[in-house]
Amino acid sequence: MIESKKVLVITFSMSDDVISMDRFYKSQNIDGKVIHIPSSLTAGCGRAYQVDIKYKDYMKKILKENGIFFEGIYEIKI
Amino acid sequence: MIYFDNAATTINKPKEVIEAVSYAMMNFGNANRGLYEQSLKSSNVIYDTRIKLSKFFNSKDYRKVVFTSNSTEALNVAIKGILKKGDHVITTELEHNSVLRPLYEKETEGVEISYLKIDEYGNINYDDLKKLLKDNTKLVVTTHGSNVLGNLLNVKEIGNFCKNNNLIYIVDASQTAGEVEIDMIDMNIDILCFTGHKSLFGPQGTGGLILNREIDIKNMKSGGTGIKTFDKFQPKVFPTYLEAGTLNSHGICGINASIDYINKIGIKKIKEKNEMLTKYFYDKIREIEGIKIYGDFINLNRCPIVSINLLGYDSAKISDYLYEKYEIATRPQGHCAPLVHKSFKTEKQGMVRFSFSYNNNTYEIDTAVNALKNILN
Repeated sequence: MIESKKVLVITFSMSDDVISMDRFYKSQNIDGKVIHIPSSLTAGCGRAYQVDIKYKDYMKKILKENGIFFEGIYEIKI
Repeated sequence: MIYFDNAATTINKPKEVIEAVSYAMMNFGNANRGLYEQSLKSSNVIYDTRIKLSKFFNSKDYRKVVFTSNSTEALNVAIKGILKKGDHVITTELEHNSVLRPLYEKETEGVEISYLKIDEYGNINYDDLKKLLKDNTKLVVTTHGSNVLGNLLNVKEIGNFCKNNNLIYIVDASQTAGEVEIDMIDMNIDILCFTGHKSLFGPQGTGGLILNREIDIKNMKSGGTGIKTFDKFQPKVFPTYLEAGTLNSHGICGINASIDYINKIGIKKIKEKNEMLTKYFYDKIREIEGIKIYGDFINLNRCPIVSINLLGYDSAKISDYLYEKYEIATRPQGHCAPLVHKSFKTEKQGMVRFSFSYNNNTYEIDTAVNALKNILN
C-alpha cells in the first residue's frame, strides 16, 4: 500500500514554470520534486511541484521574491 | 562542391548542433506530457531555449517565445492572427511570399495593403511611411533583410515610427537572425519571426515568433497542450496558446546548441567575415562587362547576398551551368519575392543569387568569379 502524507503542492499554468521552479529549488538544495497534479486539485498545467510541509512560509516568500509564476499553493494529503 | 545558397538554408551544420539533435533523438520524451526523466529532459531544454532566444534577441519575456516549424509559419501566425476585416497594413516590395501570401489572403477578407516602394538600388524611402499611414492602419510588417538583394532595412527607424503611431511592428528576420545583431527592445520590434535553419545554423523545421508586448492575437492551431485538458478551447496562456501539439524538442535542442555556437564565435565576427566575403565577390565582379548586379553596395551593412545576371541569359540556365560545370550551388529565378522582380523587371529572367555564410572562403569565391568570366568569354 502506498503511504499518504500531508505535503505542500504548488500549481502552475504552464510547464516552463514548473521547470523554472524545479531548477530554483535544486539550486537552493530544497528537497522537492515534480509530480503529476493530484486529481483533487485543478490547475492549468498537468504538472505540479511537491515539497515538504515545513517549507510552507519560506515557499510563499521565495516564490514572490524570485519571480516564479505559479497558480496556487495547497496543503493536501496525498 | 561550393555552396553559395546559404540564404535558402545553411549546410555543414556545426558539430555541436548535430550532436545536440542526435542526443535529443536518443533521450527526449514528449515535453509537458509526463514527469519521467525523458520528458523532463525535453521540457528543460525547451525552457532553456526560450530563455536563450529571449536573451539573444533581447526581448522582454521568455514566456512570449513561441516555437513554430519555420519563419513562414511564424509569419502566418502573426499576420493572420492579428489582422481583421477593415484593418490597413503597410509592407514593402522587398517581401518574401511568406509575408505577401498571408497578406493577400487577408486582403480577400477585407484587409487593405499599402506598399513601401523600392528604388533602383532596392531601398525604401522611410518618409513614405507617413504618407501611407491611415486611421485604420494596424500594423507594419517588413523584412529585416531582403532575401534577393541582401539590403538591410533600418528596422529601428520603422520600429520608432510604429511606436510613435501606436502600430504593431512585425519583423521577418529569416535572413538576419544569427547574422545581424537584433535588439527587440532597442529597435521597438513587437513581433520577431525567425527561422532556425539559415543563419542560426540550426535544423530545418525550427523557428518561432517572439512577442515583445501584449498583443491581441488569435491562435491558428488548436489541440493538445498538456495543460487545461478539460477546456474546450485552446488555453490563452502564452506561449502554449500559439503552440498546439507536440513541440519539435529534437530541433529545439539543435537551436539551443546553435545559439551557443554563435555566441561562442560572436555575431560581430560572423558579420565581419560575411561582409568581407560579400565585398570581395562584389569587387571582383563589378567591373566585368556583361554582369549586372542588383542591390545597394554603397552601404556594406547588409546580408551576404549578391544577385546578378549575365547579359540576357536566363538565370536558371546560368545557375544550372554553374553547378553542372563547376559544382557551384546558387539559386536562380524568383526567390519567392515577386515584387522585387517586378520592380527590377526581372520576372522572366530572374536573378542568379550567390549567398555566403561563415563557412565560405575567398578561394571559393575566386573559383566562382573565374567561372563567371569563362561563361562570358
